[in-house]
Amino acid sequence: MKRIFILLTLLAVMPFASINAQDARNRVTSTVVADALAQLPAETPAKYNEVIAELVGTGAEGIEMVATMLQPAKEGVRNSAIEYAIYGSAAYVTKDTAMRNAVRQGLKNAFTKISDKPNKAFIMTALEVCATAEDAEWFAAQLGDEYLGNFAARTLATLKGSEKVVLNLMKADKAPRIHLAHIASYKQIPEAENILIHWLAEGADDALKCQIYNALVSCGSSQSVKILEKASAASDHAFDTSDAYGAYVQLLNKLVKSEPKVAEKGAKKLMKDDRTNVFLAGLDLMIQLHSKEATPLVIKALSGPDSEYRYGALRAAEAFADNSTYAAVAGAYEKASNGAKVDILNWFGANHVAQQIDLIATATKNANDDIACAAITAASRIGGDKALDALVAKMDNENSEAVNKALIAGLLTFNGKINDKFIAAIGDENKSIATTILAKRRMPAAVEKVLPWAKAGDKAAIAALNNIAAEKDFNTLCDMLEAGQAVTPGIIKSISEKSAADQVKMVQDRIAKSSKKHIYYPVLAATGANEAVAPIMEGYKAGNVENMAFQSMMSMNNDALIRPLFEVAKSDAERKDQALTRYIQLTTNSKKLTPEQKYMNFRNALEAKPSVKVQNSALTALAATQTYPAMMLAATYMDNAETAQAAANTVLQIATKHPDYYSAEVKALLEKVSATLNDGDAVYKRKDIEKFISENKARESHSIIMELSEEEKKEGFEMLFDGQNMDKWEGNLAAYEPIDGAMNVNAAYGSAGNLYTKKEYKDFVFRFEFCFVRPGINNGVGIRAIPGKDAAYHGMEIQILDHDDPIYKNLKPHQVHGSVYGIIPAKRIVSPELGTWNTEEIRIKGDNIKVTVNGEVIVDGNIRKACKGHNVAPDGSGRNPYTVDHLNHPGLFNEKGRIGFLGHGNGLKIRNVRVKEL
Amino acid sequence: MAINRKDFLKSLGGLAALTIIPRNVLGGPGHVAPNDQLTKGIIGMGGIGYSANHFSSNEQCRLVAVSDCDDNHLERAVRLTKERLGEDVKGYHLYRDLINDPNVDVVHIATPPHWHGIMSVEAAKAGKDIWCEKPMTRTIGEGKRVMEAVRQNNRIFRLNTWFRFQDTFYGLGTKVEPLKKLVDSGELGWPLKVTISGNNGFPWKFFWVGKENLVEQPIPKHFDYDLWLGPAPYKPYNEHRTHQTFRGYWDYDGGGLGDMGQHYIDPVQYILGKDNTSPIKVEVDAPQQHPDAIGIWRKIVYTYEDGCQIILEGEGYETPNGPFIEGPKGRLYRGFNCTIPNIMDKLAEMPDPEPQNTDFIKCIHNREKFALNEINGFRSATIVNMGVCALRLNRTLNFDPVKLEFIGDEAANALIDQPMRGPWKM
Repeated sequence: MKRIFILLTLLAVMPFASINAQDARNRVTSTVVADALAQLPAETPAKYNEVIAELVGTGAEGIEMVATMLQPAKEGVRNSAIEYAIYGSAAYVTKDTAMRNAVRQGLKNAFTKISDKPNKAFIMTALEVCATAEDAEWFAAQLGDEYLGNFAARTLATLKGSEKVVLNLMKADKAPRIHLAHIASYKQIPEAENILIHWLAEGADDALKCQIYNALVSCGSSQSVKILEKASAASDHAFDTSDAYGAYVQLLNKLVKSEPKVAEKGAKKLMKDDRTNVFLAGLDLMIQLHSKEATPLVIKALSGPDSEYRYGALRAAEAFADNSTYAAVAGAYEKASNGAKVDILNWFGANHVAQQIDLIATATKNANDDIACAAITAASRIGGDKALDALVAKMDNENSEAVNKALIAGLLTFNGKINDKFIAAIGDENKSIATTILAKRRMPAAVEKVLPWAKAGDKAAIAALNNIAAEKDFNTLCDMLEAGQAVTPGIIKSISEKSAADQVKMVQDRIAKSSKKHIYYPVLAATGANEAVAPIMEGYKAGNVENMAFQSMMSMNNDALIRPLFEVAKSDAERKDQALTRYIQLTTNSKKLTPEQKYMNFRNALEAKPSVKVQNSALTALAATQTYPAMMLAATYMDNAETAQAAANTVLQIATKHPDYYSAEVKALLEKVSATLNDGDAVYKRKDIEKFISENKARESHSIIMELSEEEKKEGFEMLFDGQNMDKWEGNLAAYEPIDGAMNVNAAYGSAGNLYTKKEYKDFVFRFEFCFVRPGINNGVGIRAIPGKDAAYHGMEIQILDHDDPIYKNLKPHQVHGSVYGIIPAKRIVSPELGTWNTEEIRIKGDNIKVTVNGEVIVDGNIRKACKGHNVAPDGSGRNPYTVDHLNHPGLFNEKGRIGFLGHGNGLKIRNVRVKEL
Repeated sequence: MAINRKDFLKSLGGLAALTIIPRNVLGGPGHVAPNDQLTKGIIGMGGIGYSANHFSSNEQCRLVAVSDCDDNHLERAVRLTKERLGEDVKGYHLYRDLINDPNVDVVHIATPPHWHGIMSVEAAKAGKDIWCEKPMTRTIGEGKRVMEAVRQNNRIFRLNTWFRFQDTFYGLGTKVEPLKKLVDSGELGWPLKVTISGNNGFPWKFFWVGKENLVEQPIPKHFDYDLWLGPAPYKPYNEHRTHQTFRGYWDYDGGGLGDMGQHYIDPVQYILGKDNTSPIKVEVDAPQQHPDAIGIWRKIVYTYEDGCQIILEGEGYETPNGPFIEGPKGRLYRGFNCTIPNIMDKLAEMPDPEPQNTDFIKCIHNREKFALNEINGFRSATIVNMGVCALRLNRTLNFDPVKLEFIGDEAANALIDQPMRGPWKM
């Protein structure tokens, strides 16, 4: 493949580089562009930076080259790589002035060379990203185009520094007014005001009016206020398609600082409107103008007709409100309507106005439920002693349901600790409130208050007790338990702070004295202690009274139960599923068992033939063992539809974590997993499988060895690559990996991915097969080449190129597939389809060269005749009029040299490489 | 009502107002809403607006108008309202006619996100209260303007995601209230790192992927494509851009992040107490994004000034990547599994979080801000949009949460304030 002659800045290193500069890798612009396109979209941000940096390094020429590749959209056209490149470049260069200028120029050059409007629009969109004020004229020139005008307007609207150009256009009245007004609405151009007003006077439809009104907001002064006010009033300050009202309010807002008197006059008028939102827009202005001084307006609004009015005003006042504002609002409270009182209380609460807590506390006692509820909520939000006193006092009242609801919510969310005062206030009259709160809020000190109710069997009280019990209550609760009350959770909670061993001891003491030992098993189980296992097991064996022992086995966390649970499963058919479920859980959670032991347990569970549900639990659990036998065991469950999903997931999770397990057999399993999975994540899982298999291909022990045909053997051919053996090659071996019988080329772009025969050849027939696995492949066969030197000039290069890919749109005839690069153009064939194998033969004898692809001769020529004997310029310059590419090829007439593959990017496969010396 | 509005307005001095009509009686002939019943109109009758939750009437709020620029959607909605709800609703081709309909109290915006900003602002100017579907706006700049218009006209705005106050937050498999309590308790320490995802990573990142190399198709007769595009740049019609699949294109939304990001991120903003601020940095791990069609991504990391982080975990579908909150003193996993012993008892000793205003209808009546409104909704939408900007530019971005702009990145800031296709204007 080709390289050379670029416009980068590092010039003059190479002796034959007499034109311009060239990059270190000798790549021409078209090559850099093609390489970049083949690598886009970049997989990571780092790769993006790398590829786009190379691309923008080609300057305006390269960017133009890329952008002109855009074709009108139709079936089969792939513009996407080009779009990634263009937009990616535009975004990339916003931080680099020099490159930015080059990209801007390249895009503008390309714009004139293509005619498709959507593609032109796309280029404008990209240019918008990196445009500068200097581009304003350029965009302005597109405003008149019906399709592109909107795109130009978009850019001019946001382009910094375009004001002068826009104003000149407005003065000249040469571009559509609707665009110009739209642009002006994003700009501050004071001189535009008169023009816009003039346009209005000349007559405008609603769409244009809307643009002009909005433009007057950004460009206008008090002069425009009058116009907008009139227009807004004409529509009764209602929103309509001309947006006069919206523009009017916006302009007044804009003038708050520069022309406060004008803004105030407008604000006052708005406040007289019958629409509440219009009134509030006016009030909002007054508040911006006068801040605290506007307080009387807010106070006045409190006598308004509804919450929208009143609370709206209060909310607007939040912009400046301080204690004096709160005091003023509080001053209006007494005379306010009930509705306004609620608004005021809600507002105090929302703003945490601690200063007004006295007023709020008093309001909690109001006979009006709405007021009382609002006050309770506000007090709770604000917090503090006075607030709590008010809430607690309210507990003694006979409240309505609504007030009680507010009170419970208020106590539960109270801003601070409520314990002491709340507990002190608990009494029979507020039992329901108290127990509701204690069931949620843990307050051990309240136990004494709740106990009498609980002992009397009150269910809410027992729930509360279960939440708040502490160690001191242990024996009391045990007594209650023996009396048949449901206080097990309370007992567990009461001793939960003690060590597990101490907990067991306390419970054992009670059991020793009790005739109903079984009722304590759940408490023992909750301790999780080793010492608790034996008594529970005894209980199970001694008849499992009321199923308490078994339930305790099911709830207890302790490895010692794993084996007993399995025994239960084997002996008690009724409890098999339950016991095995727990057996699987405990095995999974165990920190002591090894992965192999866990695998054995899960296998035991499966072999016990539980229900499908439990089988699936075991199959899922197997994954965590990450062992080979677990994977193979799970695989056997993929054939049963009911267990297939769990099994497949387990195989997936083990296999893809273990490249060391990988083999053809595992590959087959994974393919089966792919076909089996049907859950919501199946798409990603299949992607992972695909990736894993491709990464581990080399681990498959497939060895495909190719041999010479009988005929070739007779003719004296030599096998250079048989599918596996690379002994006859040297150079970048890593970039030519033999997999499944073919060299898989994975050379990096722009790097030296060259592979050479160890031996030199003079005259020969060279045969091989090649396959493109991705579009845009670029490689080449080096002939009579010298390692380390560019074979295209020091030797010859026979192109291998997917030349029909759109990224090679600008290719020259001497660059197509099969060409002797720069010397003899090949007959252009149709690029082979991806994934197909193709044969190629290169025959060279002296100066005669013949290239045959898939049986068709595409080059048959003489290299000396092709350049009339002048492989280098007779005048010693870098420009050689005799070669097709007008470059010097100093090594064209090398007598002999290596044969090589000149790698450039990945995605090519080569196999069955043979040679016969002539 | 103790005082009628006419007298009241007179008392404010100056000009006597002309016609004074109380709320809910505003409007022309045919307005029959009972006194306290609100009325709503829905814009966008394709997907969400057409779902049973919203496409309904009840005692508190009655559906009176629908709008869609696809005549098929509009006709279907009008017909089904008659059949199912027994209501004769007004059907509007142009959403502005619905916003201007004096019979409508609440405007429900169920369009693609590129319309949310304009419609919210216009509804606010028209004095309507607003129910807007997530994501709040398609750009940070549009969100700023929505906040301003809602404030100026003092409207009630509800952004529709709800996990901060209701239902199991599927980002962490538990309700948000105990999470808030745990975080506020300080038991986990500070700063916190919140990895949010389903149990399978953030699966939505794979959804709503756009198509490259689209070919122009004829615009269906029943569909006003130009109006549908509205403020978005004109691109040749292809049905994949519209209706069920619009989320795959940057011009209208932000892919899976736009669709589901706010659902996952908003509760975390609340839990972390960040409702008045934003992260200062966003980092992405993703393939380069196409300028038009949205692609997949792997991971997005947001960092706040105090070191707190939100991580949208992209890779993997196994437990280690599952959702969790991590602090210096402990971790909380999905389903409220916490590494701190007896955590539930400790939390049971603390007050519940401050109550939120979660009844939208009640908020409309008493004018208190809804729990998720234009301000905290803007903040969580901003996180989504920060991610969108970083993805589109394929680079780390630094953000100023006060000035609401990216620091030192011109291209990113251009994405904050994107111009609209004229004549559309906010």
